[in-house]
Amino acid sequence: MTSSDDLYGDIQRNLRSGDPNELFTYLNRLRVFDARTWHDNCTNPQPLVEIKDSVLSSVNIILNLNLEIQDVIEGRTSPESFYQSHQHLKAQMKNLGKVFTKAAIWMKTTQQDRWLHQLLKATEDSDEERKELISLLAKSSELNRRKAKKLDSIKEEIRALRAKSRALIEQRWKDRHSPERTLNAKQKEATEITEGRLVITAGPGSGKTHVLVERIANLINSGAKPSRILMLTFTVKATTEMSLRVEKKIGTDVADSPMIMNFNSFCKHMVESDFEGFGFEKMPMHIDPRMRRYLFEDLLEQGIDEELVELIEQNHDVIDITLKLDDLLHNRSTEVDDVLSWFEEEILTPSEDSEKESIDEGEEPSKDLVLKRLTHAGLRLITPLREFIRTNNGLTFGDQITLFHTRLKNEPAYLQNICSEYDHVLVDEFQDNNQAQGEIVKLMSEHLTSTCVVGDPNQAIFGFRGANVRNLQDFMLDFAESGDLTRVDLDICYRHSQKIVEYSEELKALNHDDIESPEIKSGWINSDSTEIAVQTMIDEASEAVEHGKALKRKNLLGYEWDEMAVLARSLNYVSKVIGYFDNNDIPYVTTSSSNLFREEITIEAGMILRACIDPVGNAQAIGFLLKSGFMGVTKEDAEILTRKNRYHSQGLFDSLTKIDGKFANPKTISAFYEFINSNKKLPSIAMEDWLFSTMKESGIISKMIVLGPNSSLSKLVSLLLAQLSTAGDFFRYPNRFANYIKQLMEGKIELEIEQISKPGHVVVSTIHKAKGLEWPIVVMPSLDHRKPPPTLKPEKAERLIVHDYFNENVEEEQEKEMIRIFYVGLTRVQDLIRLSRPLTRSDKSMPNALFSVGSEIFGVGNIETIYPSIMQNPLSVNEGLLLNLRTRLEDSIGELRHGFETEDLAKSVRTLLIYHLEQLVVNEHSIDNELRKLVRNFEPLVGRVEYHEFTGNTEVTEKQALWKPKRYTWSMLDAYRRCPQKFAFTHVHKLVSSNNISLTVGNLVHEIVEKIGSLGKKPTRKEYDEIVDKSLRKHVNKLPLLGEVKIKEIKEKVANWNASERSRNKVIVIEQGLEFEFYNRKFYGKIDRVETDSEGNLRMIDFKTGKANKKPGNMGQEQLLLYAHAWEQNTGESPDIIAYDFVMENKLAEADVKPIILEKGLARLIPIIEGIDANEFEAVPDKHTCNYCDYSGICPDRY
Amino acid sequence: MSLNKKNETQSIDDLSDLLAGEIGPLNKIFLNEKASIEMLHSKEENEQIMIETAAIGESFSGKRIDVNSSIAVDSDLIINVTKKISSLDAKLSRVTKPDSIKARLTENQELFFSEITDMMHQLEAWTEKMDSMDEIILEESDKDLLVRHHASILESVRLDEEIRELTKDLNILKEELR
Repeated sequence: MTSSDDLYGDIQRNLRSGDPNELFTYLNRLRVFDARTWHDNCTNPQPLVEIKDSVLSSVNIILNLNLEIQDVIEGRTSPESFYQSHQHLKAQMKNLGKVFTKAAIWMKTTQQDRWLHQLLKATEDSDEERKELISLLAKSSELNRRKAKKLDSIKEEIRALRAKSRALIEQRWKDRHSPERTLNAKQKEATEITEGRLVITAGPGSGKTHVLVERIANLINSGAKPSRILMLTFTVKATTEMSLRVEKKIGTDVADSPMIMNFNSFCKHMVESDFEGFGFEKMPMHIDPRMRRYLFEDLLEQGIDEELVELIEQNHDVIDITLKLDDLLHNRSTEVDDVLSWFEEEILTPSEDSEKESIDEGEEPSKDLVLKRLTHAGLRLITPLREFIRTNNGLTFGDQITLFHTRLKNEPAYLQNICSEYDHVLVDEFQDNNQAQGEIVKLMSEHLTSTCVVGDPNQAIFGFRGANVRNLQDFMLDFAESGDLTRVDLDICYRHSQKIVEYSEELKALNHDDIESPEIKSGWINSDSTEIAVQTMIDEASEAVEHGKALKRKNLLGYEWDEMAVLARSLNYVSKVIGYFDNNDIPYVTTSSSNLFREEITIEAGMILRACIDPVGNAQAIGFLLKSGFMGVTKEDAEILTRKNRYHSQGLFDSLTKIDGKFANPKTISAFYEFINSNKKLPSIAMEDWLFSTMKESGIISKMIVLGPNSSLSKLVSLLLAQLSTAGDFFRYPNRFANYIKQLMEGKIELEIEQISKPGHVVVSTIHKAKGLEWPIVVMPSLDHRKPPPTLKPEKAERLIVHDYFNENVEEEQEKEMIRIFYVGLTRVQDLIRLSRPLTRSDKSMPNALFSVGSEIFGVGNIETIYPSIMQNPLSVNEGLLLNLRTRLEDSIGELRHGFETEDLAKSVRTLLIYHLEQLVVNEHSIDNELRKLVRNFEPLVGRVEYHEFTGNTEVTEKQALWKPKRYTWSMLDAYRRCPQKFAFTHVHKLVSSNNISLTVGNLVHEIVEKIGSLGKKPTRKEYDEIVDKSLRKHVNKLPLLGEVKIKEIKEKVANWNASERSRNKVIVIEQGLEFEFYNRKFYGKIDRVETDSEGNLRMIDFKTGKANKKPGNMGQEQLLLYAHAWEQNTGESPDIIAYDFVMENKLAEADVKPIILEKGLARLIPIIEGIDANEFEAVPDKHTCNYCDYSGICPDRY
Repeated sequence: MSLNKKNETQSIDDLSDLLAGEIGPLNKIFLNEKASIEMLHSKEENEQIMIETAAIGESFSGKRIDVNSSIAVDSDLIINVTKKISSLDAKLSRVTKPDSIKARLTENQELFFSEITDMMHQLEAWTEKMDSMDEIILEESDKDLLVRHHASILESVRLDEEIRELTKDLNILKEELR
């Protein structure tokens, strides 16, 4: 935001030539600058004369319309013309009301200007008076100087008090522990055992890292050569931290220092340092999961078993199933062939056999069998995939460990050789290693002086990545009998008070684990206690505001921002908190990649790169750039281009070349096209070269230089360059790179940041990333039990194997892991933990385990303050949009029809939601999950909200983007012909239209005549009365809408029909639904009546209740031709006559079904079907139609 | 309070009084007391028009606001007319026969023959009232003065806001450290 001085300068410069209107504009800007009330009320300034003109012109129009109506009353014009005059008059009245409201707002906003102006004007002629006025006005700056001084003194006072408060906090920390930081008995024991196998279980805050460092120092002191000590950590981050601490303890000696590596790197190093021994011809290349997928795609292109290719084409899940199972078998270090043959014999064959008979008879295989077949295909593909990666000289994460493990297991000499390098091994976070890693440690331990594994089974939270929670247990069981095993439990927690220890122990107890773990005690020596707040709050916005306010207060009281963390299972859960931080200038750091795109410049850069790399496949990016005015394209032109191609995303780029007269500024569109086209990625250009030239051409590089190396733009560019340098080959298809950028923008890629914390910033993190870290203040919001996401086929396939082959219960393990995740989150805290759950979240679910246990022990505080975030405190971009939505909704509430309020309101809400969601899809790059949930929340009230969306991982294909009906009907074709846009509202978006009277008349009449027809004979008087009464009773709720006169009329007309000759024809079918095919598409239609007359003609009848001014078969009246075609297709017989029976007018309109008429009529339907198929939904605005259209309120092209 | 400070406060109070339209500071500016009274009178008149305008606007959406009006725009009439006009929709939606349309309209002829016309004439008269409000056309130097003055007011609002916020913070700290 600019300062008032800047704004003042700006105004001065711009006013020199300005007219009074410009002055108002700037004055309004000044008000907007700070004064919220003005901000809310200001509209564009409207000079007095304009207001007067508007009023007078409306008054004149209304008076004229009134005269027209008077003419009707006095019989000078026909009564029908009243309707138009009336609607027009109504609109003018509304307009007049708006003019007055606007005028009042304008007067209010210019009130003070007017007063000052009056004063200035009045003092024009007297220097003395003017001088006095100016001197009075000048007092304001004097006042401001005094206020500024006061402000400074308050700030100073706050600084001093905060320092005092901080000193108290630090004293509190100090008093918790004894000043001599010596090891406790168990810690000491763990450092002093220098031989054999040692298992250390280390609870949270038990000084594990300290013990490991001391142990290494002790080993060295006892004579071990530092370089023969191997320490394996779980993450790169832990390696860095451990190295620094060891270095600090034992000093730096590059030539002889302990080998500290993370487990994966160690295995990778082993394979690389002897790649020939592992069967590679040259140094293997590292393949990350994304590249593995790309290689898989390449493999499929190069050709494998045809049967498998066909299966993959039918079901893309096979790809993900293969990758999932590949990971699983790697983690377990299990032979693929063993699992495959077991699967074929034990699982697939019995299932195939049991369903063979029914499948032979033409039945579809069961879902269960389909999954088994897919799983089988996945298992069969693992070996070709692994071989293909090997032929491409690639080494995956899984291979690094499995190859190393297999070789250790199968080649005793190799094992001996590796172990001869080391005497002592220490493995940290052993519970997070997978089974194969566990096996590696076990194998090596046979040949080492000491093997020390450290872990905490209660903190095993990487099961989803294949970790084996039982690693510690297995290790102990395997060696307990040999007697060569010592166990030390580090059970004193120095991080927090006994209160949290008890809380976490209760939580742990929920798992009823057979994994034995020590009981923890707090090591605080004073009476200080960790503060715990367990609270319910109204909604997620309230949580964000309450926690945000509490953190601000703590910061004021002396805690630094980097001493606080907000933790959640997923970053999606804390989006509101992030919104609050953004709006309240609370500095924070998070690992979500979407954070890179919080500035417009990075969004634009991402979109430019996506649009250029593959313009056809990235219509979203093109649409975004057009609308953002890139290359000067006007909003109006962008609107035309994007709207026209709304359902044709791929055609957008091509449409840039087809510019005609309706565009305001075609030159800019051509320039836009030229830019994209000349920077398009060509196959001959290397990716990195392309990236550089596009960034240069588009000005990204120069902006990056201006913004400096710490800007998010610079971070984005270096991230992209890093990706290309490590994985250039794998981005050989442009859409892969574009998709990578898209995923980054959508926050789907969690960035690898070595240090999650950043000085002066609150950490907003997942619990997983927070492992091993601690903060004085921790906030955990959204602690409600969330339904697990639906299990997808790859997970189902994995479960099948895990359950049946490895005999494990996946669901149970996942539930247990969830408790452990909460345990880890809870035990990060030192001074204060704030736990909360929202009461009104979408599924109104139950509190989760962490919250339940906490509330049982400590009770729950209910905070019931509602923060109307949607109205006044937009917490995020999407909520800003909701504010807009709300305003529109409020407008539409004013338009509700009497008697239809609920229906209309539901329709409005739904329509607005759809409108906004689609706008978001077109304008933004995604719809966030919170909004998605909010929309789902509305659905029980307003019906299904369907919108078009570009799905996350896959590129948009034409098939996905185009809407297609399951089957066509005549009413669809008819609706499309009248107005394709209305068709889209009704059929594509499925908006409900309001009931109108003629529809009810139609229903009623149809019902009665059909019931009479289905008797197959002339009804008796009694039967006739019964049918009519029954039908009327059925619609009893709607009868008042019709009115007595209309009901009487219906009764009379139906009686006439019943008395007519034509009702006596012999009925063949009544209300018959028919499925048929036309123009290779599936259709469905309902025929009112087929009959034979006295001359033996086969007649097809459609009952009509409107005016008798139509003839079947004519242009626009192809319904019965279509049904005649359907009848013929179903029965082999063509009707002789088609007829409309106008029941209300007692008239009949007939036509002979001649082949030429049938052909010609049906041919007219083809362009309509083609139009629907191509999703061309342009409106056909027409005064009359639009006036009575239910969707005119939201239609962009209404008349 | 020192004399100096007292004077300062006095002049600042004068400033707020001037902006609020009090007679005191006006009498300081204008040598002629009559001029001051005229100024105030014209200010009040403008404000009255503003309030009436808002009240008329509200009447169109069916809300009645009591205003001591100097010009006779009848709020009830506007509310009544707009209500009748929209209710005609419902009344006529079931009517299709020309005669019935005519009949229904005749039932409502008061609306078309007197009420709408009355209302329009009242509104027409109202626009004449607006003539007493001036277009603001300013000299270059006056524009500067106005803009500078507004910037100053805004700065003052900002400072007040900041002082208010920080005083709250200060009190929290004092409370905690007590």
